[in-house]
Amino acid sequence: MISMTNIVKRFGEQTVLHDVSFNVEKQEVFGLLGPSGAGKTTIINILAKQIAAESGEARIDAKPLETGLMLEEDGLYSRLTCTENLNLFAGIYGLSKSKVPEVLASVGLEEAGKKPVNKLSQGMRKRLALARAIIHTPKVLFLDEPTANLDPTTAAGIHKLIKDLCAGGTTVFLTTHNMEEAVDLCDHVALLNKGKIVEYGSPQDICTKYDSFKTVPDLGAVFIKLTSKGVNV
Amino acid sequence: MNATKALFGKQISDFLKNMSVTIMFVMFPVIAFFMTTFMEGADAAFNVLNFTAMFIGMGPLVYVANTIAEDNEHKNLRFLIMAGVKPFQYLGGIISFAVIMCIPGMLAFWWMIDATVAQLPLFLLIGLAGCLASSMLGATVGLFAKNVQQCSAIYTPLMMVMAFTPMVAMFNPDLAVVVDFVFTRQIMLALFQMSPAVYEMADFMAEIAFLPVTLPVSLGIIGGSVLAFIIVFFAAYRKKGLKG
Ligand SMILES: Nc1ncnc2c1ncn2[C@@H]1O[C@H](COP(=O)(O)OP(=O)(O)O)[C@@H](O)[C@H]1O
Ligand SMILES: [Mg+2]
Repeated sequence: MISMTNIVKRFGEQTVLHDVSFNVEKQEVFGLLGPSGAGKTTIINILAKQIAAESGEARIDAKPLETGLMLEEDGLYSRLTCTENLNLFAGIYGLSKSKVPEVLASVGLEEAGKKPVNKLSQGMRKRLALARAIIHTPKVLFLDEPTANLDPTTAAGIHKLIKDLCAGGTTVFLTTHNMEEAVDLCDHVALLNKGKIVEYGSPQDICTKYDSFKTVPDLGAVFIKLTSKGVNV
Repeated sequence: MNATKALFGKQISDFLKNMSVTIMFVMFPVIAFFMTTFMEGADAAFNVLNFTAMFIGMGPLVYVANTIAEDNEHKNLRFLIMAGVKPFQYLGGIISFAVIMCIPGMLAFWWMIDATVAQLPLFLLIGLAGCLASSMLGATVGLFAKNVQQCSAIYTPLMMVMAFTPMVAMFNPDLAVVVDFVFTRQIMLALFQMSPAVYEMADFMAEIAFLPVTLPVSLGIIGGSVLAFIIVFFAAYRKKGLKG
């Protein structure tokens, strides 16, 4: 569904990607893991045709209008409300206006429709960016650090949404430096370090290979349980 | 068509919420109105048209330049283009929106100088041609600016020239040799000739001008400026493009 073959990318003198190759199957969640500065965003930008690589081939088996994109720079209109932002894209894609409350609800922003974007919290803003990325039910969805800096409840909400999208037929390509997230979500992951892919496989297989398992108290699960919707404490 | 309609709707909501820009489309007609309540005849018409020049030289220029620079800086453009919006659809939408938003102001100026209904079409044609010239210049600035701050640094001197030359020219006839070629000055002269008060001041206007004060000269310079700014814009677009 998505493939990169021998991609090399330079910014001036600096070579940011060294001969990067990988494949993403249809309808899987693929995680690109790596520390800051590894080149994750650059890979998304190349796949989404925002920038060109020096050499190599990047392919997506979907038309440009069948891809959805969420980047750290979210490109939302800050003076406009959530609904107005989504109305614009619903209009551009030729979707019915009724799609907007629907997709707002799917990211848990049903009550924030009338709020201007510059009054949203960081997590709400991210969810709105996600709503815009999925409003046209894309075949391929690129998410650059979809849960960075989010509280665990919001992050769990986004995880669920990603799984639902994937079950609905969407192929999801995401980047993260959160390893728990990768284990929870991804069918396959690639580990990127300094522009080179150093490991690839399912999280389970990689952990088996390095015999890396742990049992720790899971406070995160408790947090989510107590702060999710419908819980009255 | 979908996209054009959707962008237009977005433009309206944003325009109403972006007070620092919107105010320019309202402020000049309002100030002109209040100032002229204490004036009569040629003085009043002259004053109104000074504000008309400021309106044309500031409003569309700042609006178009700011919108493009802001969309660029905040990466809004990239998402529009991803969604299939064509660069010219986007730019055309902003420019035509700016010109349309000038219509109420131009109608107010027309009414304030007591021109006739028969003169209205020509009045609007000249005024809106000026708004188009100002918008094209704004679009060029917007393409070149890396961000909103840089954008205002570029448009401020242009704005000064376009907005204030007509007034400066009245007090410094020596400058007429240069200033007569600025389109806002010619807009003022052309529109002034539609005011009934022109008879009181015709000789004075002719005296302080370098070029003959006649409609064909004004139309030539205004039309030439529109054309020149359109060419400059296309050259800028070819060089810079719209990256998103
Ligand atoms: N537009 C650019 N110009 C110059 N260098 C860049 C640019 N974009 C990214 N880089 C460099 O490329 C490297 C990888 O960046 P990035 O892909 O953003 O990493 P990540 O998303 O993994 O944190 C970094 O060293 C960064 O400084
Ligand atoms: Mg990044």
